[in-house]
Amino acid sequence: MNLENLLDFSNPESFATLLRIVVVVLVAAAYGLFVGAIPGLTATMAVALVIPFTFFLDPISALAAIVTLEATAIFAGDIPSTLVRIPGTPSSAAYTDDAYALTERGEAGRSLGVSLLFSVFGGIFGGLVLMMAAPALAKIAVLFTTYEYFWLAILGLSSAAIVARGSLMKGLFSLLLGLLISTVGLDEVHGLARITFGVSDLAGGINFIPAMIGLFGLSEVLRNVLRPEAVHGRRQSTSESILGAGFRLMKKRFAHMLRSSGVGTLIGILPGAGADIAAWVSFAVSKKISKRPEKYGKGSLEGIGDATAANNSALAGAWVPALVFGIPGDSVTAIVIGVLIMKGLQPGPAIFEKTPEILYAVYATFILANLFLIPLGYLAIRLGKHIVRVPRRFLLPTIVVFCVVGSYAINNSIFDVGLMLGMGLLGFGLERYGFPVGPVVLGIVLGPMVEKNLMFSLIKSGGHYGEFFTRPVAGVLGVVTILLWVTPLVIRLRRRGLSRTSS
Amino acid sequence: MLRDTFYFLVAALVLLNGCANEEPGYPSRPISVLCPWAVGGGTDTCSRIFAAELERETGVPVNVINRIGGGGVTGHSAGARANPDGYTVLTITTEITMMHWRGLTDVSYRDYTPLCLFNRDAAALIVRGDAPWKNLKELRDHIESHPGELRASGTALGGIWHLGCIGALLAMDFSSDFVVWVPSHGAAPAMQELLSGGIHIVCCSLPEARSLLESGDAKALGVMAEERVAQFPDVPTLREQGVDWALGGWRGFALPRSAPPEVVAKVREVVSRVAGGESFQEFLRTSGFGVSFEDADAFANTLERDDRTSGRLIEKSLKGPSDEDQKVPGPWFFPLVLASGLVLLGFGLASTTRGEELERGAPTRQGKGVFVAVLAAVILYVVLAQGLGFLVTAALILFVLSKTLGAGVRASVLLAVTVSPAIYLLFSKVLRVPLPEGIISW
Repeated sequence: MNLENLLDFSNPESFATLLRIVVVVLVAAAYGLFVGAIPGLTATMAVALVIPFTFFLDPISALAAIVTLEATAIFAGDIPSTLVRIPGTPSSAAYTDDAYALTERGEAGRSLGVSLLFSVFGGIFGGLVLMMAAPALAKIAVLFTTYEYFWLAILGLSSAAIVARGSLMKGLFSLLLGLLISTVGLDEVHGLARITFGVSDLAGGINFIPAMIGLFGLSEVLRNVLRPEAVHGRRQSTSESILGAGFRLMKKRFAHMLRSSGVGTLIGILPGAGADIAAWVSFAVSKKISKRPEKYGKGSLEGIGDATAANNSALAGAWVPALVFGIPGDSVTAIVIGVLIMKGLQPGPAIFEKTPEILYAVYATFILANLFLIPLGYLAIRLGKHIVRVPRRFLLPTIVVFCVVGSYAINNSIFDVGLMLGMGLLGFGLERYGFPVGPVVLGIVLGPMVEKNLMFSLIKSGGHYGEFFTRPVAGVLGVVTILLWVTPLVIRLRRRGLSRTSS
Repeated sequence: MLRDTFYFLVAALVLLNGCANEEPGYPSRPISVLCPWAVGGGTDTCSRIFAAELERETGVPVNVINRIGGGGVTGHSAGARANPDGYTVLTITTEITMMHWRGLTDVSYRDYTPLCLFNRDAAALIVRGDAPWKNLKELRDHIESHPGELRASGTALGGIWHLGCIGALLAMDFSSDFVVWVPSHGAAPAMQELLSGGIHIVCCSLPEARSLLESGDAKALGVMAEERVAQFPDVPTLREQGVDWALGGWRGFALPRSAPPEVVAKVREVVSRVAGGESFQEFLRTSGFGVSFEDADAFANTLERDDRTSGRLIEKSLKGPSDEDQKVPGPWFFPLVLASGLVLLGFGLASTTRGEELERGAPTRQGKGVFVAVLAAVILYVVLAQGLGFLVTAALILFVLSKTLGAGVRASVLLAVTVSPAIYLLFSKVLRVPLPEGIISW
């Protein structure tokens, strides 16, 4: 069965298949929205929770369910991120501050409308790329080894410096703090426990999800309660249209949307980087070339759109190496490979030749799921928006309980609840003195990637640093990264020098 | 007043609903399967399918809990400390016989009571499809004439595939540093490194490499099994090629050692029935996991034997600094660089800015009160949740916080008795992510 047959409605068998996909997609979309919107439960968790069901489903339905779950969950992560400043999934962390700033200005609907439509576009873009160029693009994934990933991680760190609003020094301070936090736990290269103070719960390192919930969510609660309610009362503009703002921005920024989706897909293809990193990088690129960079971090719809298009497009990108080589591009596609094998479908070139109908179903679902996301996401936003109207005396206690449950759920660990509290206090303290928390989160994400790829590379090369530049892709990435770090410093120093001589 | 009493009564009824005390045989309430590896991995998938089968068999809900990190240390330690009442079944993996030898933890296989083993996958030596070696002998000759040149990967340092590689080298009368081990996050990134030319050999199980073996991008030179693997009849064993060595990774189920014998007997019966049952075995077979079932006694022998083997290999190879270690920055290099950076920046910031607080408007007295209340609430949860359970603790938190924020008694109670059960239902029943049960559960 090929794509034309699948869309040939006169053929009853293919019509039944299509109908089945539609039903599966609808159910999975509702479930994915739900799980993604709950802080602490990631898209991976949403997919893992349905593994037992995939055992009984036919392969096409199983894959359709997984595609839909991840697409909807990643968007849904934006909802709590925007409304209560708790990223629903790690992929929303890059633009949480922007989205929440808009909510505080009473523009939650606009922000979420942009999130929704740009997510849908990014998702469909990624799906189309997967459909048209998977085998060719898979070769890119193979160009990347530990040397390249090291540079990619450093490049990712530079995005923190770009993203940091206000003082660059404070942004860097936050970033270093995040990186340092990421070194807690068992060092994989030497097998030594670092900064764990003998606590066995710390041997596994600082768990990222509770850290994120504490830094963003709980710290906001703490900040919020110190303010009197009258000041806090958020303005609500009732006449705002959810989708209108999104469509207008899409029209205005079509080229940017295309670029962001491209960046996202490309990062998704790399097995060592996923949707969360895609969002950070795309946000940074967006700010770097923006004419109004000062608005980023304070409620920039442009930044939100570009980042959210990237994280959804990265999802399809991750399927590229998974389908072509059987190497998962992210944790969801790791599950996908397991499901494929369970159904007797070994990923690899053979799957493209022997069972193309499976792939057509995946492509079709990427597009279908994202189209369904428009009405369902719209409904979710309409429902979610009411949260803002709940009086503070009921809303804040509920948020605190969600912070607690969200940090507990992913690892079933009371220790993580305490960790979330500590991170909440840290985030509160940092923000009180003007240090942004976003770079801390980025540091925790990228720290292991920087360190491990550096160490693994040095073990490979026998301690020689040359190979960080002699491999072609690594060389280009390395030079770009170094320029990106050095140029602004040079310009700054020169400017300072000039202003000093003139005064 | 009457109304208040009514609300409290409703609250009590809602919370006590289903709080039954009778204990009619095992299992009579939800079971958790504790998985020491991350969501989405092979062990997690096995645990989840097993949980679904166990649920079908017993009729009680079975949820999977992941305790991850530290190369399995966190999850296995948590397992050894778990409640031994038989309602937490532990998935354990080969790493339990290795971690304590490397000094990562005190927990060893002796801290568990084995139930059964359900999967075993032999290690295999895999090279690029276009590699110059056609068989193990050619690879062996190359290693002999170029010691220390080849790089191998497949898992973290000291992981099961690393030990497989070391064992094979020792069985060939080489020293363990004749091939340099590059740590990786599992077989998949190692296969990617192999394709991109970063390393020469991958040591992992055959199913993990299947896609690339079938496409011809990689080839297997030998498998470390007693006999050829059924799904890969063309891959010869190491023994066939004159290298006397076999090693595999396994997965199994266990209880904490402190579980009383009558509990062990009951759980062992149910778990073995499901794990050895046709449906679960069928899943393992179709998913490419090596099917191998050992009952508790055989599993106990396996644990003891593997523990000795791991000890021998680790003593011989991973103790003491090797040459490679000196070429690579030490474990404190990265944290120290970061810490010095932080200190420098801190000084820089302290000299330019003087503690400017950004928040405008002094906090109100009530505000400070709530601030402390929020902190207290989370601490309260940390201390009480395991004992009291989620329902009661969360209700308490909701009540106290909304009261502190100025809500009336009735409204606060209403919030507590609606939101707490709603969240509990959402997580435990709808999403199947268990929350602490404590004194009240249903």
